[in-house]
Amino acid sequence: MPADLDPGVAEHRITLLETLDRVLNRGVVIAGDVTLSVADVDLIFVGLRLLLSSVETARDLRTGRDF
Amino acid sequence: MADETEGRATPAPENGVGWYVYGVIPWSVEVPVTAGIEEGRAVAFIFEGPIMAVASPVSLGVFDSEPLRRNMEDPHWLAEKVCQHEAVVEAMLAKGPVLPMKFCTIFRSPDAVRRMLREHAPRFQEALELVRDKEEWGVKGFAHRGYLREATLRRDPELREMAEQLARSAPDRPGSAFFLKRRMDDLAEQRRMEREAELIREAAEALRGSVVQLTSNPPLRGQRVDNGAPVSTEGLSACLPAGAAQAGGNAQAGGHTGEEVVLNLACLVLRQGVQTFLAEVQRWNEARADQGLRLVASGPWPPYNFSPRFGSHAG
Repeated sequence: MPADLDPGVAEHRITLLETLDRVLNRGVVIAGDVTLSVADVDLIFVGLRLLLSSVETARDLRTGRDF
Repeated sequence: MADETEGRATPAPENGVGWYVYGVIPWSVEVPVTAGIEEGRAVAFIFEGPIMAVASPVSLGVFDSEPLRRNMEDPHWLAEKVCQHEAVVEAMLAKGPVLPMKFCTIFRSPDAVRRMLREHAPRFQEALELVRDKEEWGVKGFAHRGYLREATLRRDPELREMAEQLARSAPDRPGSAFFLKRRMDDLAEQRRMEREAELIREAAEALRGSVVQLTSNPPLRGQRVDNGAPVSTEGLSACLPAGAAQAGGNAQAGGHTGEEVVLNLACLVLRQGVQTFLAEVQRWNEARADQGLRLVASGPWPPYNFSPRFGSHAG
């Protein structure tokens, strides 16, 4: 890794978002009545926004400082 | 069809459980038995001809449509389960080609999984061949609209002319200066948008030569970088795929203050060509260091963006 790049947590946020986006919204889709349940995308965005805001809040509560 | 192959038993139906499918892989690939999405229930393999599904039993009390809807409203439950799903897929990815399923694709019985595999076998096999020996990489374009605008103001002759006029404008006629300023702002914004669109096109074109396939997705919501402070994902980052996090750090730093994601590409790259591809990303960035659009690569990912999506018919 180049020395001038901070391997810090900024990428983790991107990666977490990317993980959520891929697992929730992409991948093989089997539609129809063969499946019992398949995650519902609209609901998921509600959860995603909540997740992000809760991550922000958790950071503020825990550290109380700027990075 | 043999229910048992090389000592790996096909699971029997069980009451009160559904079968959560993580992905589809070729029959011949040896995959480790990892933990499933529910504690105490490891993954099992469901064979059908030349392909197999990696699945695990899950309680219907948690994963049936109705309880699932409620559970997904809990962001921590959701993040944890998404990461567990991803971990199983990553374990498969380490062994050979895999087609990852969308989150919470659950069947009533192993037989139902087998029927699904049988129905879509040709498409699965075709898709497995497409992703064999390849990796999915994400490329995000971060635009700094302030820089983009400044670069436009510097370069555009019409805007420079207006700026000079504005500087010369008579102080006793503030009205005309006001309208000139407004026209200039409107034009600068229009030019900024044009330049941004142009850079986005150029970026995709520059990468096309080093990828097998490329798809453009809408930028993710919530990806504006407002204060530049990296956000801790403590408690969540632990379950992130190690490969992805590492490669993200390897490629470039993430978003900076005032930046916005304006480009979200998924690239299917030959494993042998990954270094060339990443060098291309870096070259693009170096050549446009002062332009206000940076590319950031992340990967390798399972080929979520290059997996088939089947229609709504069941038969």
